Amino acid sequence: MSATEATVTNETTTAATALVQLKDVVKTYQRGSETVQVLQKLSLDVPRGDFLALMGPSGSGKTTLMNLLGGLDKPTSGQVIIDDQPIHQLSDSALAKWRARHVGFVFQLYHLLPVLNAERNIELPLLLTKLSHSERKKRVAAALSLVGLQDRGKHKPAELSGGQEQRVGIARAIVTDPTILLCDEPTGDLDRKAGDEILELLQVLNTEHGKTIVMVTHDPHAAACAKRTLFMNKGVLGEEPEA
Amino acid sequence: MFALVWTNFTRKKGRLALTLLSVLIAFLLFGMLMAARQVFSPQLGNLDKSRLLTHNKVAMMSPLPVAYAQRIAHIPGVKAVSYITVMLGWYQDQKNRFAVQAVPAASIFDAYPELTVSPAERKVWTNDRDGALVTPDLMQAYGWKIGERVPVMSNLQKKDGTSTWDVTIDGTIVNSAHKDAKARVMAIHYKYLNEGRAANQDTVMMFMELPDDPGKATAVAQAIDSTFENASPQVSTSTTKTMVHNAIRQAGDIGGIIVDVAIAVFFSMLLVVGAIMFQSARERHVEFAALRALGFTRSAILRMVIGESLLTCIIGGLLGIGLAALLVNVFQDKLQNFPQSMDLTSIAVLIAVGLMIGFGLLAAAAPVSQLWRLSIREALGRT
Repeated sequence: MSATEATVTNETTTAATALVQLKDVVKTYQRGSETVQVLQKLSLDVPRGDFLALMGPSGSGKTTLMNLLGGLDKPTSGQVIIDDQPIHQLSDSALAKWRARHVGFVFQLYHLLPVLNAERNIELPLLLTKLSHSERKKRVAAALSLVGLQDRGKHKPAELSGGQEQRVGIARAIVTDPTILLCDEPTGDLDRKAGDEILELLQVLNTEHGKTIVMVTHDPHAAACAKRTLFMNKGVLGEEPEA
Repeated sequence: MFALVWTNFTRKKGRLALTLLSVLIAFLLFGMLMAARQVFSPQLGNLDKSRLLTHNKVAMMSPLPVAYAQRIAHIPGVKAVSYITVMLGWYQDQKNRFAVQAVPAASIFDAYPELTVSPAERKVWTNDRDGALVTPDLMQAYGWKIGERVPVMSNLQKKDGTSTWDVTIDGTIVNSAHKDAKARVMAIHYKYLNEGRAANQDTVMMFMELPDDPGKATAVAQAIDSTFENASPQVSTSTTKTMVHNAIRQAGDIGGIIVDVAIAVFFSMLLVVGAIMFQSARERHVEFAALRALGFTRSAILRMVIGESLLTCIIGGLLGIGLAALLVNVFQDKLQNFPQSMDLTSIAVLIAVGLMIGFGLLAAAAPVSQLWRLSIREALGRT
């Protein structure tokens, strides 16, 4: 594999059927007078129903890649196509609407709104839909049930444990039934037991509910729960960690 | 979405209370100042432009000989002349104050044809030495009845050493030119006052003249002043409107001062609310970034912030204006003798609502500008 042109495809899936397709993606940032190339002509296919773990050292470009997949950033060059939609061509406003429909984010620090209880935090993405109040309530209840927090709906984040907060974060991510779940160090702020429960939940979402998941992690134990792991180093993807 | 705005609006109760209080006080002041401006601003359109008032040239309140009335009556162009001496009266308690105007029954209705008294009551009063006519507002305020004997205490001492003037309520008097004006005024006979008072006999506070031709009021005024040019005391004559206008101007351009104070208050309020909104939004950058990651558009976030700012200004402002309306009613009772009534007009309320919206938008400008440039990945630490 070339150091400047990484193409990683799942053996069982062709590019034509891949849910996520990155083609020759380059991302550079300007830091003062210096131009830093974070992603170097990166190509990646993620098939529907995959559970992909992205590992790599800090500054290797994992989060930048996630930002591109989630439509939080745009590539300097190259294409980002998700579910046949070339999202790199979308405007900021169109990207926001696209995110609302297609992406569920799970953050390391949960990023729940402290003034809202669990139910209302989970309901947030649904406020962007045309669903009625009763329909929203049904969906929130279903999401809460899926993450095992039926009895914690009225609790505010400060009244929940870290693991429970992350479950609420996951419920908020799945409540709109997104095309893809993007998890950024979902267990990074949790102890081992709570982390394992979260990983187990993600596996359930992947295997039983068919959710396509891309997870960034530093933790080999977490990565082991994914169907496959790719390693990022200096803006290049590979199937093996850099020696 | 409004529920989300409301939740954020009420998230810090202490800060919200203080912010609302500052807006409330600003609009309370605005409401009071606008109402006071009604009293002090020279909007005297409803005052008479032709009726003349003659007072002491040196000091407006210094007495003039009542004998001047005869000389004024003979000045060409003067259709009618009357005179007045005013004292402060109160009923039972000094808080129950009203103006007591001592006037001659023989001429007051000639000089003021718009004063309306029923013929029967006028006849009774004319022949009743210590009779009094009162405005309906005053009659109602103390529940007086026709024929009732009322002791009126005053600031004017009598020859017998007391300062209580016993009068009989003979009827009601209405100024048909100002039917809507709330005035608590009592008219008594000049003769009764003049004979009873301990000092300043045969003097009056002011003469009132009605010219033959309203268009020549200024010329008649000059003729009156010329007549007493070599007399002592000299007089100064002007129209009612001009005199009230000048009296107000002597007290300073209160209307202008009020506007300046209002601008200063609002500028301070804008800075306070703007700073609070800025701080509140800055504390929530990560939350806003998370919401944007969830799919909230930039404009949706900005609408939320603007909504919070508008809620702050509108709720605080309406509370302030509501309180001002209550207080204006209270103060109104204390300003019975002003030529203009203290009133929070519907136009003032509309201006206030406009200012609430305007300041709400302006106070949101700084946080909106900051949020417009907010980078999701930087705010979430996703670099």
